[in-house]
Amino acid sequence: MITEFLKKIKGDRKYFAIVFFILSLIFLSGILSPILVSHVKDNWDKELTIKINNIQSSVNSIFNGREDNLLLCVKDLKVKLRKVLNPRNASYGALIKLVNDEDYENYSIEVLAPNGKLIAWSPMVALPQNDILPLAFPAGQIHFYNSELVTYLTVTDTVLSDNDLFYFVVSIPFEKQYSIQNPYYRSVSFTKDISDKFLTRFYVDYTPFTEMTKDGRKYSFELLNKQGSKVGLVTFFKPSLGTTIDSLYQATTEIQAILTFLVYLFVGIGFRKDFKAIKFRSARFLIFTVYCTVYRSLLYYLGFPSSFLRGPLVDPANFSSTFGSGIVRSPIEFFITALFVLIICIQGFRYLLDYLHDSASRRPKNIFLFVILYLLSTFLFLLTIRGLSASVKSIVFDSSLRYFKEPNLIPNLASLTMILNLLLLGTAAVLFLCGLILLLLAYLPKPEKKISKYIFAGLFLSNQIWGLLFIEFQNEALISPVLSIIFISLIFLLVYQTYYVDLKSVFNYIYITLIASVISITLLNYFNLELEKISLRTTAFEINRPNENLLRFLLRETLQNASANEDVITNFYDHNSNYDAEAFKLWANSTLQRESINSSLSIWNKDGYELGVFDAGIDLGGSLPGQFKNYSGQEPKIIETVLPGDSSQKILTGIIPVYDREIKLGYVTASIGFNFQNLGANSIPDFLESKKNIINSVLDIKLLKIFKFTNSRLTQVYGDIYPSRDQIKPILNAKLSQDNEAWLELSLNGEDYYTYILKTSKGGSQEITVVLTKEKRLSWDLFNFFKIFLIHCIFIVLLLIIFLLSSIKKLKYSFRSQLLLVFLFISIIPVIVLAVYNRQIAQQRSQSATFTELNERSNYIENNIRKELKITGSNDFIQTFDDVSRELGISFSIYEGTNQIFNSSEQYYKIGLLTDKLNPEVYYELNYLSYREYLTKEKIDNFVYDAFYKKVTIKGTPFIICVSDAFNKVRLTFSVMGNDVFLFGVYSFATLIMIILSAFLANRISLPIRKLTKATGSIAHGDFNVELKNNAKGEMKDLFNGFSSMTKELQKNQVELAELERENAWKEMAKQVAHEIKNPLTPMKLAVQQLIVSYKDKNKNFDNIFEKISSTILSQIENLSLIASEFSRFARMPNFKMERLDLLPVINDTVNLFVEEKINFEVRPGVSEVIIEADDSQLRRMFINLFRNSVQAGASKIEISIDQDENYFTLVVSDNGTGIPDGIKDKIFESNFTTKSKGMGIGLKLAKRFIEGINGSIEIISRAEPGAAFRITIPKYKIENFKKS
Amino acid sequence: MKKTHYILLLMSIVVMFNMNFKAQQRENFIDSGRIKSREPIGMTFNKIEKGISSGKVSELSAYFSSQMYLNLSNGISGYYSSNQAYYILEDFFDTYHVTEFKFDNIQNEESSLYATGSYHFLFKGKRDVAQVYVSVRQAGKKWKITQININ
Repeated sequence: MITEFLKKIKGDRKYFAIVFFILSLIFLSGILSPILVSHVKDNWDKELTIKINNIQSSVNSIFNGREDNLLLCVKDLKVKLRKVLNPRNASYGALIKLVNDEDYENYSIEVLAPNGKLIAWSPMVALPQNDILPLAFPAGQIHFYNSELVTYLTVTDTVLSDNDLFYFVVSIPFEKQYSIQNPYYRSVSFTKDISDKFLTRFYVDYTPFTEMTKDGRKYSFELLNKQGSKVGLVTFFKPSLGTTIDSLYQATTEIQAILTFLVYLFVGIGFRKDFKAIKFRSARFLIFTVYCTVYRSLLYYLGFPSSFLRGPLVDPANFSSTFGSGIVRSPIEFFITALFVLIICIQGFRYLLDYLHDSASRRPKNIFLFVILYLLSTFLFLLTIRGLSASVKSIVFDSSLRYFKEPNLIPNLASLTMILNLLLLGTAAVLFLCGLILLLLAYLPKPEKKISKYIFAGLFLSNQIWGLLFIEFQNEALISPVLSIIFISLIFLLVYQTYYVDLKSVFNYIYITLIASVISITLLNYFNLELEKISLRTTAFEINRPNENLLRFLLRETLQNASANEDVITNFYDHNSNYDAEAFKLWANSTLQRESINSSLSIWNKDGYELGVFDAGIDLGGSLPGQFKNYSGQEPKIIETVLPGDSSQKILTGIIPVYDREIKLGYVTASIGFNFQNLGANSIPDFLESKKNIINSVLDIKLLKIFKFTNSRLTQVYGDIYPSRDQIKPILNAKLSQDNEAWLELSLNGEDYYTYILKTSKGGSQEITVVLTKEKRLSWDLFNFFKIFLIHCIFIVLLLIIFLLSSIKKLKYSFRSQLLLVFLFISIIPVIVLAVYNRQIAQQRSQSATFTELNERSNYIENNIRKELKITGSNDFIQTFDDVSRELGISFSIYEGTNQIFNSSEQYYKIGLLTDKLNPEVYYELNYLSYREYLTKEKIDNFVYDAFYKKVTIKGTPFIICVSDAFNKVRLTFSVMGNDVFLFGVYSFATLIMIILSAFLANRISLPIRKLTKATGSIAHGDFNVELKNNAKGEMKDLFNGFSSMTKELQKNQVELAELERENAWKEMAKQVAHEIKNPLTPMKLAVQQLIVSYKDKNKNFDNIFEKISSTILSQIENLSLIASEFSRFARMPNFKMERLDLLPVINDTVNLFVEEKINFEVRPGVSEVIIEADDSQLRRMFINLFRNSVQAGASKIEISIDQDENYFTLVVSDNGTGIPDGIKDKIFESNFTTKSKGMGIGLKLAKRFIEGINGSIEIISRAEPGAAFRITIPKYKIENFKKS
Repeated sequence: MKKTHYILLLMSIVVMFNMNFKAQQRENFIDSGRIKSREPIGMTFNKIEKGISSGKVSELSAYFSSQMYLNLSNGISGYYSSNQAYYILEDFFDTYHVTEFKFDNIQNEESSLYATGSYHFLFKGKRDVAQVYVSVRQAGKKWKITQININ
């Protein structure tokens, strides 16, 4: 069979030619690659020079591009400034608006008056006012400005307005000297950009004074501005031969990978026709599966697309599993694998549906086979559910993506990909599960629908039982019994819809995808809850695990890096350096920032005086610990100390000297502390915190409550809840497991908490660590569910649109769909409008709440300042502000004019991270529009916070107090986030209900129209006996009645017309026959007359005459006989259009016409096809007649069975109606015989005539069961017969 | 289909059921029982050292715990599952090719089990060195890595 099959394969030569061409390209690349490498090796010096020149010109080109952008901005701004600064149009408001325009959001703009005073500025201020004039570079020339933390590309230009010369400076950040591991940080680094692009290390000096490198391994070139002035120096490591060769091989491999991918694709396309010609569906499916599997494996081993992509989609941190040797090692690999699996499952499902739909399918009645299949399918069914659960668990546990941690609706690219992967995987699994059950139903021993429904119910129950048993006997059940019951129920619901309602509907795929989405999201949420619970345990373990060795390691690493840092060494020589900024840079670039634990870093001169410090929760008080004085070791020294002012807080402090050519320049110290109270790194502002602290990354640490008990006494509390004695009792009395742990649900202050309890022993005392997280409300659960369901729905809708566009000809814009769309439009639009309105109200309320809260704080501060000044009698404002800040514990800043004179968090301004210039918008609102207070949003990189400004006058001096939530945690009773969660969750649920209701109503309203449409179709096929049963009222009832009357009228007219035609036909026929008969009768009469005459005349030749006349008479009799035969044949055979056809589709189509009659049709063909020679329309009319008779006899079930022998097909059409009485059985085929009150009684007559006309037969058969049964025998189609006819 | 075919099919189903139940008793292959009994901690650290110095994650993966903390000089920082850690470290070793590595300090006291060393590597044509910290804990009869710092 295989050899025969292989012989038939031809393929498409056109595609094979392409394949051959691509293969030769692969071969060629394999030959050329070593030649190219050899060439590069032999001419390396030249190549190196070319490469260096290329890199130089490319870097210059990139720099010039940025230069051009800046100059374009300057040009544009200049034109606008000229208009705004024109005395005739002069408006300060317009100037502020221009400088703070959104178009210039990424730029720092400063405008100076002719007298050099800063009159307008943007929120980002690059150059301090004193550094602008005198100009470092001629006006209009680009150059670099180095602030403490950022290097700017800047240009100063002038604008003349009415003889007044204004200066303006436009700057853009070019290189940040620090980096923060933090979702808010916006990276700006020219050095990193070119290092990544050219795959070699770059160093850029942003001053025009640096000399070229003398290191032979590196190459330097000058950065020149447009005017040819040197502005900086770029140095990079020369490309190495090894790296170049590796790049060449890498490029060759990538090209070969793409070509191989194309070869395989074209091979598949080339064999497409042969594939479609394969008769057996199972063989086609097997070949398709093998092809897809090999294709996927090939893509993986070729590194496609992972080798070609960069970014979050290929980052294993976002998702990675070692399953299948790495075919799901990143989100994009997972996507490709899931897509292939889904394609295979869809194809398999389609083949299965065809198999079920095709009534010629073999259904052997073998109960033993059914049992085997049942066991196998149940096993696979349960295994698949477990497999799906394991996969979703992996999506949660093997990923650093947290789908439910943040209440954000728009996920990032990696999350979006994983959510799509979840849908693909779920859909593939559901298709497979449905396929298993459908396959089982296809092999039912007794496929009668009524019995099969009972078997279906039995299968459902048995699968539920097996599912529960499967969970019970597993070591580690992945899902709960409740989930198992729900999932199995949903699958069986889908199977019911597919098998019993509408097998071939396209909407089945939509239902499958929706159910898959529900199942997969439920699993995702289930495992996420598990992960959150496990995180409580992890937190408890981390708190109890001694961490000192790690902290020492972190300190050592930080100090060693600091001492080797060239910038630190250089700055020791520059006494004007901002050492605080240096300390911050060292801290930001170290692991101390990444770990987000309390720390600090200080720089000291060789005499032990502190030059600079950055404090992130630890303040050493500005003095070097005694143990460190005059330390001269090469390695870091670390000691344990206590926090100054709090001896209960232990910290580790380390020191390392900084040397340059063995001369000690100074010291760097770093301190680190693990403090229970500061678990969530509360002392580090959000815009600096890494959010990846050592405790856990699953739950927001700030939402946890942690209690520590020592010997049953509460010793430490993290969070804002202090449990009462009653609340502590259940904790202390909790029943612990063998591992000394317990899980509880506690209620604290009216809210429910998941609680994990861990008991440990430490130094003889019993310690209990309790970690609690708030149980999520229903609105959160709804929000979590719908936020992913919405994304799935968007994907499904996109898919539907693509499908509809591709099969637009098949698109039926039916009445039902129109109704559905209208209902959806009417119901969903108001919901969306309401949701948007509610959200706006919520935002306004939140804004108002923030305003009130910050206003109250500013009032509080103001009152305390006044009180303090009154008490102390001092005029030292700065000291007073400082005292008030410490006393109140509130962070605030004070402005005098446009400059900041005090800030509680001074260090962030000193290092240049934040600007101390008053927000220009605030300056305008408070000073020019004379508002007393103003609330605005400010930004640090991507961190947005609220800042409240208020004008006050203290002892006659005007100040502006600023309170923000950048440094103060503002807790509002009303939260926009909570409102968003509620709105989205609840409104999504409401929308889902509306969609379901709309679909139901559209279906119900359109039902009468669909019935009418079907009835019209039946009439078109000649069935005038169709009856419309309806309970319609109003116009619909009139329409139905009108239709019924019209049908009856049409039928009556048709019968009358047929009668008339018949009569005319008979008349014509009689006339013809009479005429034809006359022709031979005349010569016969003459011949007989002649014979009589001859006899009477006793003619001598009487014998001859007798013979002649006899012959004449006989021949005329022959003629008459021929005429009679012709007439008979003509009368018997109507004008049929004979053709070769398959009877099965005809039967199926006819059955479909009776869909609305609610008749149970069972077609049991014992053959794969029934090829006969007949007239298609007559055949259909015959079956319509037979079925209509059954319906009118009250039958609810009609069975059609087909068998064959060597020459004939035998059909038996039987029903369970009232049957045909014995007395009239022999009359039913007669003309004009009927037992019905209406009807002409010619249906069966015509049927008999037609069947006999094609050399078949029709007869009634007797049987024991009630109802009528007809046996119809039709000859098989034989080609020689067809050719003859 | 002959009766023998049915019997063979039935037997294969029974075998599959059996295999499935046994499979559920097997651990994740990263944590699979390649290490049968508790080996001395020094040997464990030797194997970890060998794995890092050869740049082969497969030699380390047997010691990965279900959740471990990674802090690497390519910016990776946080808790990751053993599956994730496998490929994260594989990518890291591919980018930062090790030229030399050795533990220079091993602490094997019950209360603190860790080792530190210097990781010499080649990155974008330049040689550099990072400090390595690896801590382990006991998990039943096995040693499991809880943290890897390479900075």
